[in-house]
Amino acid sequence: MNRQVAPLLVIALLAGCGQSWATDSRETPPGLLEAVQQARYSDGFEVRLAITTVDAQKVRSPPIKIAVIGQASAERQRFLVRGISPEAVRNHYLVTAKNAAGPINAFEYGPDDEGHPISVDPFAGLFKTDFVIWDLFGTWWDWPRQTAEGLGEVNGRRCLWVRSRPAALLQIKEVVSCVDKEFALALSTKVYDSQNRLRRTIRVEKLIRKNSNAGLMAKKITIADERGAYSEIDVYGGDEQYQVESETFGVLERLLGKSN
Amino acid sequence: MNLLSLALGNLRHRPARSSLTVSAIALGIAAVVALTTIAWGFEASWQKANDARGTDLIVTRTGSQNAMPSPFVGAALLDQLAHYPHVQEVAGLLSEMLSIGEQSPPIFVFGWAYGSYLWDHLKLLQGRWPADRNEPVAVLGVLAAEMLHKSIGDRIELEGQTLQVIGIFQSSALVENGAVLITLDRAQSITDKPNKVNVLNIKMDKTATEADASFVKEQVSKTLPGFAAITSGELVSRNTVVKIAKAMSHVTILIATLVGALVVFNTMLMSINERTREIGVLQALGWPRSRIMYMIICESAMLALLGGLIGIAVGILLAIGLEHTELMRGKIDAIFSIPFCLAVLGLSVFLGVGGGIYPARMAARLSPAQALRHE
Amino acid sequence: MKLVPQSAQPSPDGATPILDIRNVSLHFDEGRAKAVNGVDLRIAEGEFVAIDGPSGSGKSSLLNLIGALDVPTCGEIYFRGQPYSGIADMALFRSRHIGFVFQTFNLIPTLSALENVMIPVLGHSWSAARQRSKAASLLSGMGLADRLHCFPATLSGGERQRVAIARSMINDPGLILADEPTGSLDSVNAQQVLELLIGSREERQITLVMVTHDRSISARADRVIHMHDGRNESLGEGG
Repeated sequence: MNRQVAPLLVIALLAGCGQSWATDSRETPPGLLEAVQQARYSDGFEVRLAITTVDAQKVRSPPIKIAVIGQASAERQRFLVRGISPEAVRNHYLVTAKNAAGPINAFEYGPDDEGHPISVDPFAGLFKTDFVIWDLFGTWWDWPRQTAEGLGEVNGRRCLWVRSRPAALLQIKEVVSCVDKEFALALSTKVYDSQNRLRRTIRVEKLIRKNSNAGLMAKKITIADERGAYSEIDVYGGDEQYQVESETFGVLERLLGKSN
Repeated sequence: MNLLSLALGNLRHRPARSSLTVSAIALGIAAVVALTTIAWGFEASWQKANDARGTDLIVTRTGSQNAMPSPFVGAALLDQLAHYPHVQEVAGLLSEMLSIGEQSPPIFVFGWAYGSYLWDHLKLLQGRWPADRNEPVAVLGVLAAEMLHKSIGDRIELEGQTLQVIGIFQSSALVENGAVLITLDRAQSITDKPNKVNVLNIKMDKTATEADASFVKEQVSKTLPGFAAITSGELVSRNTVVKIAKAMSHVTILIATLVGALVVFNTMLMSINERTREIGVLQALGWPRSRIMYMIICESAMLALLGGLIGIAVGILLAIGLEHTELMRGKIDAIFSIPFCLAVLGLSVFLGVGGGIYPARMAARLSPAQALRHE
Repeated sequence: MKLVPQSAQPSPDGATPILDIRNVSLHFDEGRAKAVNGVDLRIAEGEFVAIDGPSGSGKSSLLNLIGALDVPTCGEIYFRGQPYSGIADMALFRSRHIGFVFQTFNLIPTLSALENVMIPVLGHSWSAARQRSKAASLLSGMGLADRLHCFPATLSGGERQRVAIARSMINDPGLILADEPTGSLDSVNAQQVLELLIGSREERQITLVMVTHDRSISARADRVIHMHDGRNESLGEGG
């Protein structure tokens, strides 16, 4: 039974770092955003995900299994995504990092071309799924305009809707999340583009208790796009205390060192 | 003729209502039986697995509530534990639930320290055991081989790694028969948990007593912060899945009892309403109130008893059916014990009597003259 | 249960009456409806008394009071000198001393004729065999020897009432209360049932109080009590 697998996608989705929050008439409750940030900090974790895409005609694709290894702190977040199965994605890697105020860098490389990674768009779906690298960083929690939009309910759990807007016009104009206040966990996240179109809705469908007993984590997530297709993400394994070795992010370090 | 045959006759006289009531009770009792036997069976199958291995104590992280506790680096602890008195052997174990191939449901994958005592209790039916700690091979429990349709020489894919099946084994524990067994090192590599284990299994020597085991427990809690040495029974009873399963069975018992009692209550109330005149006649003919109450309670207890008997039979069939579903095969070993069945029967009679008391009191309190005037 | 005479007054012939009804009333709706209104009546052991009167005159209510199925609003009834108000267990009293025959038979549909007859003695200390043989012999006496195991639904009206008469006698009562026992029967069956009831009563020296509309039945009674507006008027000897 793999319940020891801990960390979750949501930890990553709720990434953020310390910034001052703009005051607003509909101010978010004090401490909530800090709690959301704290919840994703980790010295190292691994989650194993099985991603099944379901198209608008409800046809399910065979699942793609990936492992996501991550480290997150107020200063830096970095992730290594490794394809497990099927054969087409096996040992295909994606490394991505973001410093507090910096941009997201993302590179992809296959099993045989470690020396030749290619830079990839963080707004693109991973391995042709709806799983988007940009979402991993939860950048919107850093945005200066955060307003509380009232109470809601997702899958029977009460949560507070929070609207996040960036200071300047970006590719993503607005993110609206419903945050479980008790566990500082976004149960639903809606991402809107610069044309104000809903690009995707990320929903936590199933929760389980963390092995450390420090709250709940997502066991199953869906990411629905604007056309009605969606991806089901099942967190089937992992390690809440993954030991990040110096080589784990070696390729990333070398790439970023080069680009600096 | 006696009161029981009279009560039985009354029930047989209204076959539709009696059978509907019995069905409702039977359904509730069946749910109780199925859920409870599965909850207990789940617990017992895990404990059996640990007992079959000959493990006396298990060292885990404290606070781990899941079926397999959170992984930790085992080497340093292992050395320390091995030096405690009467500790014969310490073996690391890493366990995961993984799907093999794209379509099959998840299955237990156990990684056991190569050459440790954990392997000793298994009976090899075909093939051989791994030759070294790193050989990329797997041995399958007899049930796992059947479920995966794999035999010696076939290959299985685990988390992107291909392993050759080199042996088929049998264990006295159902959980192990339904599992894929690999070496600990292979399991650590496959799951990317280098040097980690879920639990350390301690086997005490033959001269060890309860006190020696308690000493080890004490030493672990004193010298290894964040860890605890517990018996397999303690580990299993802390398991969240076991707790949830047990809580569900308790809630089902509560709901089934309430619903059952309400159904009996309603049936008996309707029956008494219809039989008001008849009850008046019995009173006129000299039946004391107590005998009328007794008759009504006998009727409701009979309904519940029959419902209970049918419910137990259906519940057992349901549990056996669930055990054999693809998803659950090899994971649960439902337990049916006679004391449990008797207790469930007792519960159903209790709810029958409980549901019948008020209608019986109502019947007994009728004024005979008024009851005789009732149309 | 032993009945010890307390304050019953002897009848003119010196014997204690089986029933001594003194100024008994039964009121409903806080006294607005008076079903029985100040009835005084004595009935001697072995007497056959017919009660007649128009509908609503209080005949059946009086019978219920005599049968201890209702409690009088005021007044007292004495059974062989024992006041009803002093009897702790009325159900036991009824099961020992009173037999009932109803107009609509009131047999238990789920029980056979034999079992129906056994109902009054079910809780008695009698053995099952004794209950059974007594019931069977009573039914045989009613001409139903071949109908012992038939259920009421398969019996004719006359047969049902004969079962009911057998039932009223199984406990060897001193008093049988019959509420229009022939009211639901055709004339042939009515006659047959009446003969059985009167015959059994004579044979066993049982007191019979019968509510009836039928003048021909009243005519056979030792005495007829005419009820009117809850009061009784004795009409003297019937036949």
